Amino acid sequence: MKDRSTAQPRGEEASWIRASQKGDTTAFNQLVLKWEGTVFNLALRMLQDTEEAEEVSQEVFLSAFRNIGRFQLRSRFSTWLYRIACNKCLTRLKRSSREKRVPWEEGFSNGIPGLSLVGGQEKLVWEQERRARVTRAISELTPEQRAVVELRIYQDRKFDEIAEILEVPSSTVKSRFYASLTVLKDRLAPLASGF
Amino acid sequence: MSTQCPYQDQISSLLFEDLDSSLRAEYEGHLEGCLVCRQELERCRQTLEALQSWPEGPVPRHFFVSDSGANLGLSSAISMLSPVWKGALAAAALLAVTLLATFASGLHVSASSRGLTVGWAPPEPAPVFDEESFQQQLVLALEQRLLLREQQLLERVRQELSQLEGSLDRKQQASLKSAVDGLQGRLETQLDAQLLDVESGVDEVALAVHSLSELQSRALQLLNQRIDLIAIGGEIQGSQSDLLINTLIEMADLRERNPARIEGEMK
Repeated sequence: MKDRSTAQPRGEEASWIRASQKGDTTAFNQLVLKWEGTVFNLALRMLQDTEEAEEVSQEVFLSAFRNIGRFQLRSRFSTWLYRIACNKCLTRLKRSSREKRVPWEEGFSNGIPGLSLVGGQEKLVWEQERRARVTRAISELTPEQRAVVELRIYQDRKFDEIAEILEVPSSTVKSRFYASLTVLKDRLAPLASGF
Repeated sequence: MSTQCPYQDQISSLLFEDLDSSLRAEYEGHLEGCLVCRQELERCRQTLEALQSWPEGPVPRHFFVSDSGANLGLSSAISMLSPVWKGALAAAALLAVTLLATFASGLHVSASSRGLTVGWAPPEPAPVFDEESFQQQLVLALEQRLLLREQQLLERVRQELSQLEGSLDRKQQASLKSAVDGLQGRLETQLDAQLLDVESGVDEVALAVHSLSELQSRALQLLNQRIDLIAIGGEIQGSQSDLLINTLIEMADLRERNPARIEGEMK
């Protein structure tokens, strides 16, 4: 898994941040280019809705730009950005928990993006089925559990950093993660043996 | 799942945690002789593999921030409000809905010897609500309040320390200065977190504003339907109905721009 920023910002990222803190949108957009893939995919996995993920990603970067004056360069930029992104997603999830959601994969009548390059029709179908199962399994988690799974599994963050991002004790993070794992194992573990 | 081995619930930490070498060695040693834990670990690996089969896709578009986009718009302004101010905003929205409802309820149709009369009398003059100015004032007030609180706290700490300085040696003074700097850092972090926390409520208020807009549309729609029903009932002629509808729409537009300009009654 990637680990693009595990320490305080250095080099060009630090200079982009300093310039952004003076209101330089060009410099800030360099940060956007670097992190938009991470933020969008995080939002997509948590919200399971492409349109909402786009909206949230835009909100995250606008929010980051407006608040970047308060960012301390001694901290990790990724931690700060993940905090904004997770907060935005959690808010959306909590709001929409009362609404019926259309499963993410149903939004693609022509297949799921990124799978068209998988060779062979049979394998494509299997991949789609597997993706659908992963989507359904994640949708069974609470918003807080999704955030922890996203940060631990997909963003490869350690439990202590996740605790910092979500502003909860590390023990809470672990408890949420292992509770999620119990659900996910029941739904996904049979996949490897061909379900 | 029932636990069949005391290690079973902890064994997945081999995959997800930085275990110290002795604990790792203990778990790995246990695994060699425990089928239950080997199966459990394999299930965890399969789960992880399934989850990681969801690769990162390309972004559908860039999320660049423009100079104009960086300015405070309605939703961003709301996003910076504290829960208290959001409550105030929600109250303002409710007030607007109430005013609209009052407007609708003030409409009346009566028959007289001169024919059909449609009238509307405002119960009281409607206040002009400048939304943009209101938002800006709220945001300013919020920021000032938070910053003031931080400054006041730091000032109090410094005052306490200045009284102590005479009785402290250099080392103690340096130590205290370092502690105060640390406190300042923590306060800034807290302030940052507070603002981010406040932002998380943006959608709730934005939703309320959206609902308000829908209610306004619905109210206008109902007004038009009501006039249509009168026309269908044959109480007034078709041409009069059109005139009436147009007049009502104009009246609603006028009210949106400047409620004071609406005349109390029309025939």
